[in-house]
Amino acid sequence: MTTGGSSPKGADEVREALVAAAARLLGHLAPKRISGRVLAEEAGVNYGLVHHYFGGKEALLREGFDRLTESYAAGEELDASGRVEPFSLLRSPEFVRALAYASLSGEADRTHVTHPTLDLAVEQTLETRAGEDETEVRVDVGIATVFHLARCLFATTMDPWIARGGEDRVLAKEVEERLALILRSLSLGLDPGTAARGEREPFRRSSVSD
Amino acid sequence: MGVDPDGEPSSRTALLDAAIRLMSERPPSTVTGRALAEEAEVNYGLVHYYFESSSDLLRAARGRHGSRLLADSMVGGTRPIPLNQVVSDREIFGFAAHVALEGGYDDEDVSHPVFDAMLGMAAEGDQDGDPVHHRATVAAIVLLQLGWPVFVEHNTTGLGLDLEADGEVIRERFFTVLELLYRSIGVEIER
Repeated sequence: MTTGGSSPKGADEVREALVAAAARLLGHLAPKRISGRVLAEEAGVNYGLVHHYFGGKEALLREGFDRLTESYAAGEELDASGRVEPFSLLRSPEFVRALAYASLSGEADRTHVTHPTLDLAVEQTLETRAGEDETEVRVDVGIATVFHLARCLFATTMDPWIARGGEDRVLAKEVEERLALILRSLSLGLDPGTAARGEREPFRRSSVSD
Repeated sequence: MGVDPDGEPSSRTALLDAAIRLMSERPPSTVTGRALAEEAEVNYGLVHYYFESSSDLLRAARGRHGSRLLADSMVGGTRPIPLNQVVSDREIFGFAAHVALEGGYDDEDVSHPVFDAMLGMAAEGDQDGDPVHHRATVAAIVLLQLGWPVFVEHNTTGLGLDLEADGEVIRERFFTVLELLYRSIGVEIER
């Protein structure tokens, strides 16, 4: 995975090479399996520089996570109504993989870094669901985000089945659209079963009166 | 070498069960033949006797994983896996996630007995329903259940919620969502 070429020189270049190396490695290994030596080797710099610039691998891995989150957020494209497209994380597999590796090795606490996308999703949903209980809205956005992340993590397992062995592209497309509708219903706190049937409901939950 | 009730050599089955246990904890590529033999308490030489390559082993482990879920947790495919079990059983979600992280089901004709059994339940519970609805619902249920244990802690903290204080509310809402999805395909589900 090493980038090759000449080794980075100067403080900025070395720091950058190390953070980029951390971001790459996090998508392929559990954080606890990424040693300072592996980071230095991947970045093509001297091992001592990990400590010199970051004080150790912990701080470097944090910056690596932040880098992944930022690059994911930067790749977000908003549609005409200013919303992110459904399942946009399919374009950022490294970010999803890094979250999964960290969580599966019991290091989910390492992933609590910047959350520009989650923040935006909460803000937009709170606006749409103005007047509703804020904790409830946050819980719903959380569940929708689990769905979104899982759609991306398990794509390699799920996609062939959705398309019935890769045969049925039309069915796959229809199911994909339905999954997007379910995702939307989850963050709006609506009945996902109704969405699964392809029906749209008004925004507000029936239990909430004006 | 003994033979288990399915007619499979029991040391082969022991190796596959050991593979499932180990791959629930760490990625398949990091599970060595020696670790596998030790976990299964069988002779190391048998690993290579039964499995030509690591991809051969992984394919067989996936097959065993699916048929075990179907036979045990789904009582032969007659009921869905209880909600609590999927989100707390590391051998279900941990195995599935590690397989997905290392490329998932690269051969497209691989069977998905658990998904198919759920689809069968939908066809029975909602007889006039539409196939897109059924397939999307099964996919959504599986994704939510497998994704929950992997991502819930990250999401909860990222949203400014506290897993200790708000855990009950979050869990309740999550199970309600799954019940609504199951209900849309005419299946009642145990927690």
